[in-house]
Amino acid sequence: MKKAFIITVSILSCVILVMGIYLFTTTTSLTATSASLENLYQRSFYELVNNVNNMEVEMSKLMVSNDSTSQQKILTSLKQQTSDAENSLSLLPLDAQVLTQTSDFMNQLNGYCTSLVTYKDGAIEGEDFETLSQVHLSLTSIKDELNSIMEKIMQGYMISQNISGEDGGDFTIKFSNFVNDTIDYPSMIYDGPFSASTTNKTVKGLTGEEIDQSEAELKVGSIFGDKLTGMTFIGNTSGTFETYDFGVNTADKNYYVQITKKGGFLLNISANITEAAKTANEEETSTSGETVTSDSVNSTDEATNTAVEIAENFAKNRGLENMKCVWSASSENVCYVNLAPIVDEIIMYPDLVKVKIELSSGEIVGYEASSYAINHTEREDLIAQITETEAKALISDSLIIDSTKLCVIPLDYVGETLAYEFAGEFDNYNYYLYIDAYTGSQVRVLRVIQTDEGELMI
Amino acid sequence: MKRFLVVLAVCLCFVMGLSYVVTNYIILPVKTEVVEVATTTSQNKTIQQRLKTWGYYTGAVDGIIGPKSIAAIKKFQKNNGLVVDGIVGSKTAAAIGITLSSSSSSSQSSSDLYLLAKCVHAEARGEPYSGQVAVAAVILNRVKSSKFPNSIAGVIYQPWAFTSVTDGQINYEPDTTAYNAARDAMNGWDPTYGCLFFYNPSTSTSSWIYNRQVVTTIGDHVFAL
Repeated sequence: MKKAFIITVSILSCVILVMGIYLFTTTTSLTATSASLENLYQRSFYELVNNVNNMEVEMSKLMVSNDSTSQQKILTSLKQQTSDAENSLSLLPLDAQVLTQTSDFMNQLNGYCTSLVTYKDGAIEGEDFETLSQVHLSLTSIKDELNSIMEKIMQGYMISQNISGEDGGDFTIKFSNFVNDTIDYPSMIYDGPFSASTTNKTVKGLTGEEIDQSEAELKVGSIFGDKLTGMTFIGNTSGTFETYDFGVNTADKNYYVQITKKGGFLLNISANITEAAKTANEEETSTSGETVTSDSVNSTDEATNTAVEIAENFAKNRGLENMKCVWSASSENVCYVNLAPIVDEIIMYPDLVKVKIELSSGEIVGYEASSYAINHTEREDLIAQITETEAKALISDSLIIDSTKLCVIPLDYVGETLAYEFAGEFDNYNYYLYIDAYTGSQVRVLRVIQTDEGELMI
Repeated sequence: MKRFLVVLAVCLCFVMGLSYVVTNYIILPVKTEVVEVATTTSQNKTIQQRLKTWGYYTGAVDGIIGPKSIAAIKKFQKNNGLVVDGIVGSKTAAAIGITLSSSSSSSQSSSDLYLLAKCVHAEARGEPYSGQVAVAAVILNRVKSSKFPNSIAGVIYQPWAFTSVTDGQINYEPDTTAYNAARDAMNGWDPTYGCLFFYNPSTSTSSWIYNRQVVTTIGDHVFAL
């Protein structure tokens, strides 16, 4: 009895000791983790306050400086501060809904400063000055509110301990109170990054009568023909486009298809190429020979050509005129083909249609025509104001030019322009250079980079 | 008395074991498997050179893993009893005779793709394919929008933006479907045409989200502006 008692007690004390050590180490590491989280939050908040304070100062300096060089300097610094402020904001533990307005303000201010630096020479005046003084007012109130939270933090307020609860915790409440009520966010009107003009798109390319669901079903039927084994109506999409959405089945694939209400235009097809289909294709190719020979490489090129042909015919059958391949790449069993209309030897890049073809079956597994639907119109008066030779003279001599084409390209933020496309090589890299055919200014440079999935342009 | 103490000891052991299991496997379940893949040009050149010597590869030794190289790698993997995926991971690398250093950096675009695929997998696995493309497109629309951070990582890791990030599911390895969906979205596919939000009406608790303008419903997710 006594012996058993001693054994039991010693086992128990061992257990308690081990548990104690275990609990101690767990608690220590938890404390360290939560402290480092709190530190991260506080650091982000300090930096945010610091940025906003600096922004307010810079902005007030902008109000009193009249010289364009110093204004440019201040605007450049403001750009940096807004982008840093946006970064710090996104690290704070706040719900997206609380942040959207403040984020919007920071990003738009950043875009506004960019457009003032890039597109405006000379001093800031008139409407821009008005807008900037309103921005200054908003910044001042943001600054005051942030600094009052800052004071609390300096008195020991912990952010990480005030972020739970149904309403998002005290920190969220503090933040949402001022971002939504106290601050009057001015609207900045400009053409540049994050401007309203880039987000509000009008659909130009859809014409014709509105169709009903049964007509849309007929359209889907005509696209898939006798391969169609089943079709279900999924619902409607309303937004930039009004569409009928269908789930379509064939013997081996499931598709998602969107047809616009206006004009019954095929907007989107997407299908997943399943693992099974891929492996089946591998089995097929691997039985063709023991080693990979140049024949099979040539057949890849041939397959790509066939895929391009399939894509062009598919677009033609959808009623899209003059669609030609402007870029293609094959990866695994899929060929990606970008089509654009070529009218009078001018490539219409804004009307790009993207097509994905499964190489083994030659079936369309993806189709995306929203750019076409938004941008396609009959473009008139596409007459270059400068000649090709004049445009060529504007290019850096270091670029060795391989080819020149005339094309319409979308501008960075709003609108489009006629341009000369020069494809060339410099220092073993391939570039595409675009020269505005009206003004002669260089509107874009793209460098071609090789990736696992073919060529990519950045 | 003796029996009581024994029972107590057994109980304590059980509780301790349980707490260990809970903390290690349930509370912190996410352990990311780091998959090393050959990415540097010099490594790729070595791979191509060896595959060429052994007759698997016929193209140029340029350090670029294109379709020809992938076909050659697959062939090699098949003949050597490895998993045929066309990717030089640690096992394939060992069979080729090279080691992958962990310092190898991958290109910017492919790490973005990986992150996007991880988020799609965590948020929308089990959804129809177009629903997964739509989730990827929402993330990319947020990157473009002024209302959200301006990078893919910024949008995905924004605190509380995605529940799967908050609870750690983001760290599961994405499947091929998620990768395909992410790639399609990066290539410009957007079945939601500019949506910034999505939610599952049966699980969403935020009343605020219901006030957004609904654009479309795909699978279990409602997409809104």
